[in-house]
Amino acid sequence: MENRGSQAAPFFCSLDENVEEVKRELGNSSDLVTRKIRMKAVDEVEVCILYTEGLVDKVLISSFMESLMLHAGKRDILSHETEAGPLSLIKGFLLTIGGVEEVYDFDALFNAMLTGDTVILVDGFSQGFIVNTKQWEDRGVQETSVQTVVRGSREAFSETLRTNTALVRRRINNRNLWLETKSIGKMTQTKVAIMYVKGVADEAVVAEVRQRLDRISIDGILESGNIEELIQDETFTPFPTIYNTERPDSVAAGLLEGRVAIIVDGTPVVLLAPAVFVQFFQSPEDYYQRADFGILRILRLISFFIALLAPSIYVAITTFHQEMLQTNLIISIAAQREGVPFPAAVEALLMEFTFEILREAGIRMPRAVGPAISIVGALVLGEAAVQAGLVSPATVIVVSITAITSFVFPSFSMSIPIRLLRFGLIALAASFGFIGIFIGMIVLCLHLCSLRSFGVPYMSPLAPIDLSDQKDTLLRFPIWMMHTRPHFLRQKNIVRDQNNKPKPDENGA
Amino acid sequence: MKRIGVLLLSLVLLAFVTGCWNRRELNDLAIIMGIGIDKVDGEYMISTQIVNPGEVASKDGGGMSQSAVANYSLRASTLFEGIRKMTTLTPRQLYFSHIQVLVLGEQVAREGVKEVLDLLFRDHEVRPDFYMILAKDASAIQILSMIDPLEKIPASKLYKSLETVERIWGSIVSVQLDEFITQLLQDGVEPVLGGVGVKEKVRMGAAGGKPLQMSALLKYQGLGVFKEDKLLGWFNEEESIGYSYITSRVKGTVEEVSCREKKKIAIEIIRSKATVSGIVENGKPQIEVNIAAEGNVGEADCPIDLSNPKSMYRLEIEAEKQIKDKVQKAVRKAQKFQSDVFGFGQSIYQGNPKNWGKVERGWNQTFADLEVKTTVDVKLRRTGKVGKSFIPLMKKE
Repeated sequence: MENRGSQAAPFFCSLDENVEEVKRELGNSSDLVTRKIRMKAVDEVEVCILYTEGLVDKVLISSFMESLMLHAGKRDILSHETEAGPLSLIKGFLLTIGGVEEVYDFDALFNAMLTGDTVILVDGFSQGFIVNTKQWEDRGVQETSVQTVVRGSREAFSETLRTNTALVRRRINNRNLWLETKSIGKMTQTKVAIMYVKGVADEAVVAEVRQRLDRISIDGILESGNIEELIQDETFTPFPTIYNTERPDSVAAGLLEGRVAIIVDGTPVVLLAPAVFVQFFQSPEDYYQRADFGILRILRLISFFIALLAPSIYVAITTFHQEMLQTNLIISIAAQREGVPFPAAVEALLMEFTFEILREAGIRMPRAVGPAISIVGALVLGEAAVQAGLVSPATVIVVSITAITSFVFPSFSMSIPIRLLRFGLIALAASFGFIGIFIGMIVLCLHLCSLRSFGVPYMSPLAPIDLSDQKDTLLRFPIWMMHTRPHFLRQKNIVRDQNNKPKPDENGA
Repeated sequence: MKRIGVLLLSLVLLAFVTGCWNRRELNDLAIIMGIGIDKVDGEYMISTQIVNPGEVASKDGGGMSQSAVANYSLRASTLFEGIRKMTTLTPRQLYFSHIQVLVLGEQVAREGVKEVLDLLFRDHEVRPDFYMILAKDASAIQILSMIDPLEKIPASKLYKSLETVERIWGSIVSVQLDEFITQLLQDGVEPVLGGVGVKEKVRMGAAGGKPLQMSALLKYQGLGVFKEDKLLGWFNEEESIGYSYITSRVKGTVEEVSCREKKKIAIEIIRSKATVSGIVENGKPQIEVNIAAEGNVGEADCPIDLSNPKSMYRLEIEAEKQIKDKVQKAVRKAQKFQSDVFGFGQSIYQGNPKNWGKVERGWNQTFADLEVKTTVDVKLRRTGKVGKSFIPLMKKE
């Protein structure tokens, strides 16, 4: 007991002293509850129950308090156990609850109390019990709000770590689904869980995730985004190199492919690593609908290029390469531009900027003023600006199509780099025309190819190319054809299934 | 790190110091749709047709307040000078990439067009894919000034009309600048250009009891025959179609064959391919033209049983005669001009380059006396929705 040898302060022997110390350390915080009871069961021991109000399950506490207090006057029941001390009596007979641990020092006590456990201290002993009574107000499992699908599960992660791990476990009933939990954040002590399927996930990647998480030294982790920023491979890139999702089925699918999930307490957004570029264009629904639905991925990729390039191509064509358009079209665009005071580049930047402002306002504004803002926004973006002759209708069309296409991706984090890069490309197009756009695209391409996510090249399986992985890249082949897990994740256990093409029986069916 | 930052910053700034030097906003451009070139007193009369985008694309319709195009012309001794000088007339910088047609006045064409073409072929802004057209019995500026009621831009009307005529009637071939120059440079072939003239009045109906307006129209009138870069004369419509047959440029046309009682049957030619083979025997060149055409019966005004293979066969022979006649007329006319527009010399060269060496000298004379064997094979495929015409049935009743 004494040789626990840590710098953490051990308990005193006196109960009063211990309780006083707890109160003092917590600055007499008003949500601290201390309740002393006198147990007559064993030598009239005084016991104190300490917990933080709001983080505990009150029903559970009252049930085991009942047990403690009921036996307070019934010494006879326990008479044949008098040999045992009060501690083992309490633990062995009176705590009618599953999770009980012993505690010896104040650090562990605070840690337990502040995460919702109840501490039981016994007078005369420098030892206590931690009873697992965590329960707090929780949003519960609700419908997905960001990554919605037509066909597929509607459950979304919630803010509680346990709920989230349970959601994943419910989908993968396998003893190989392993879970490790760490506390990160010197102040917040946020619980962060690493989840992976043992034997499927690459051990090296798991070790790397573990190591990177251990390296974090920070005050607080409030969201998985903080973790993402601290463990990603390349900091100075607009592209996300770690996938995030609010969907348990996405996480389960990732785990089955050999990825590692990082679940952070307090946020419904779960990280998946390693991530590759094409992953951000894949929706869980691709796998739930029939295989031909997977063609939509190409649509998303086209949308990516439209969202990225439409305004800059418009600027380049109208200011440098007027010969590239068909004559009728160029006349029609020229007609729209008659009387517009700004150069095409300024016009495009202006409209893009306006749109970004509206988008930002749309997210931040209070719900109640929403409709008002959107009416004004629609007027600013559309009718009025054109009518006033400030912008040409063609620009409005280009900006609108850009805006719509940037919402096509199943993963919102991919639309952020596009928003940023779009402005750079407009500037390049305005100063160099198509040469500028091409140089921009070449730089972008080189940059994308140089990225890595936990050692996996970001553009795989396109670059380096893996023909077998193409079954689930730009298209989604029928499930019975996808025999292996993605090669680029480098698992040893590569075979996923051995289905054959489904067909009727020999004797007809 | 800091040094790299400075380097990056200066690179970014470098991008902006260029100041977008060759940036041209769309509304600062005068988009030229057509160019016309005439010759007056030894000087070029250059006309440019500039589109007025606001008028062309206006949705207001109704009030044709302003014309959709503006023609500017001035005189200059070289084309380039003229075009630069033209900015003294035009409000905006001229933009040449969207030229659709180049109209050459008959006078210029007769005196030679090579000087005219050099600039248009040399300048980087001009795409050599516009059509070249001759103004027949008219000046180029006249042609460019004729407004068609359906097409607001005269140059577009010339362009579209040319393509349509070539596709379904065949009396005109479309020639782009690069093709024309290729033909100028090749041995044993001379160029032709389609001609357009001012012709006929058209009645424009007006609503609300207003009187019908009369307006002059442009009409494509056969091909102009060149020798080198000089215009020599014209093919009429029949000869032009004959030319198209020999050069396999018929995409569709109509052959009329006679039936009984001066009635006609019209045959729609839907496909035609000519193989021209040239050989030299005993120093004498011989040309063989084989034309294989396919067609449908398009219109039958006389009582004939088209379900009978024999009558179809007879029609085929009649059509073959017709085509052969057109082809021979075209050859005879070209021989009169001593201009090998069909590329017979080329065919000899392609058959055997050595043979061409033997006849190259004095080819024009040789061409004029050339014996051209023509065989035509027409196959009729379909007779339309009905076999027998309904006309004889009417007579029975």
